[in-house]
Amino acid sequence: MATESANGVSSPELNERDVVITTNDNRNFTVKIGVARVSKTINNMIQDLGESLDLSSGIPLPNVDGPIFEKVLEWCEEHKNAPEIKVEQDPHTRERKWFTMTEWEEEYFRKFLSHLWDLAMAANYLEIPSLYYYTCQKLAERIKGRTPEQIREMFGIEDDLTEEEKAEIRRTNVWCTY
Amino acid sequence: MKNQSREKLQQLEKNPQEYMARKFVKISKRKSFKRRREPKAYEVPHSNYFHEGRWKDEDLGWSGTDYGSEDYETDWDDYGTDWDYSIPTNSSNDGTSNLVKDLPDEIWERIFTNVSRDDLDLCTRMCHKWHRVIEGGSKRLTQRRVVYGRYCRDPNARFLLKVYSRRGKTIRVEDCPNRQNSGFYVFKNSILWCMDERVWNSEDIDRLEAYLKKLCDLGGERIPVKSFILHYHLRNIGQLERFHHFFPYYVNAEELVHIYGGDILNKKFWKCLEDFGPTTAVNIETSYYSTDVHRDAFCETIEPSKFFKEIDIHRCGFSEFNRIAEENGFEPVRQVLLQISPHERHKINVHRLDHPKLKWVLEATMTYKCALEWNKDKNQIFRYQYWRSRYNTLTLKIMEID
Repeated sequence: MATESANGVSSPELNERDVVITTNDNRNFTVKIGVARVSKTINNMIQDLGESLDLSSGIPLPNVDGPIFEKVLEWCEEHKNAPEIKVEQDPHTRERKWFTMTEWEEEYFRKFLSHLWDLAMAANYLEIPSLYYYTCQKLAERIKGRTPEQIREMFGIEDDLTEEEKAEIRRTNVWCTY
Repeated sequence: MKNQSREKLQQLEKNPQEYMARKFVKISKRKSFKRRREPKAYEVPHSNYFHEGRWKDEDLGWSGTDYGSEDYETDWDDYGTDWDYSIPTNSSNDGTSNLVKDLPDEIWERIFTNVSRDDLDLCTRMCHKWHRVIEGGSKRLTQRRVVYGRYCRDPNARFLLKVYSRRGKTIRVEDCPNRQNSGFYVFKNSILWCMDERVWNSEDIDRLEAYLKKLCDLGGERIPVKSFILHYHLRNIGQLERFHHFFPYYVNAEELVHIYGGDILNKKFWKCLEDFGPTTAVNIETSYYSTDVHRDAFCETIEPSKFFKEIDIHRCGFSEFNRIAEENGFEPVRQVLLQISPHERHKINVHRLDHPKLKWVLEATMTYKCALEWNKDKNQIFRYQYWRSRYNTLTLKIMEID
């Protein structure tokens, strides 16, 4: 039982197997492989390890801490069979078309409102496109259509540009209204 | 009341996250009862170009879904007074961590891909980091601001073109600080939504060429335009050929729309359109409003293909049309029925002429606008007359095959 053969990497049986994932605060999570695979990083690890994959000793994730990984897992559980997200662009303005979120996703972000940027970092590291893009969209919601003062307050931005730099920006970008 | 607020405070201390989340739900529920209010920043200044009946609000994207209609429902007051919308900084509450500084550039870039160029214009002057991310030559941040122009035809006027952004900022092209490059800065990352020109006589063409050249020289690059509309009211084709010759040098248009009078649609005209090889993908659209003439015009216009010449679209039924089309190796006709309102509907036949031997694709769209009662009425003759009394539109679109 020590080493499991992972030859049939895409086989459904393997997806039902459990794998142990250890986060950087030494918490162990027992996760179904099918769920863990939503993360491309973990999926690559599983594939790279191949024959030598040891399901019981687990996969270490040095860059993610427990509480955040718990939240990410919740997302993975919901999106384990979800299709790849499609990024669409408006042909004229080249603006990204915003994703429409399901009820569950809205609720998810509402629940973890104060952890959005931890989620973005984790999703980026774990390569979960859906979570990464959606979180970034949620963060962009706070910039969209707001006044400079609102943005500054919201993100706690300090004004670290000098007057000359501002003048330069105003010169090169005549549309800069602020 | 006092007890209530104390309870709330206790809740907040015990479990801040849940409390905040619940509060957010409460507010978001309340929002839905409020009247929809559009933020002032999105008001677009009045311009004659939008009131000529050709462009509807949807075309300009004000009420379309493209720009995120849900955004308009956001009521800013909620965030200012009742609900502190600032993101709690990192979970380690030591006060030194800062969201803007801690998030890597890559993630900020990804976040910025979601917002419009108008919003980026604001963000670029916020701090060093954002400025670096936005202006650092990112390949992901390609969005363009939509600008609306009103230009001056008076040669003595001090400005050539007056442009407005969605945020309402107005710039006169000659008023820019650096005259040599003024146009360049205006058009950088921008797209002019629509340019509209009328040609009544040959002087108009001269004037148009001079104007476009000047604007192009000022900008240092071709003028980026979404739709260039040319109303051509001349009888001869010569000036049109001239236009086709200089147009691609000065304007980078995504769509070129020609609007003609009826009697110019003939074989010679068609040849002229066919010869026009745009450097960018330009659609040529011939919108044609008439009740009767369009059929003859269509039959003449379709000269390049023997196929269309031999067939009378109106008389032959769809099954027959499709049979001939398939025999000749063309795509069959698609018929689309659009319900606009309970009282009217559009019937659109799309004829697409697409053949491996052809360099161009011709797409002919015929629109009949007719009343819904048409179907219910059992009197054959009356039905026909009623249908004839509505306008028909013929749209031809020529596209270069990749």
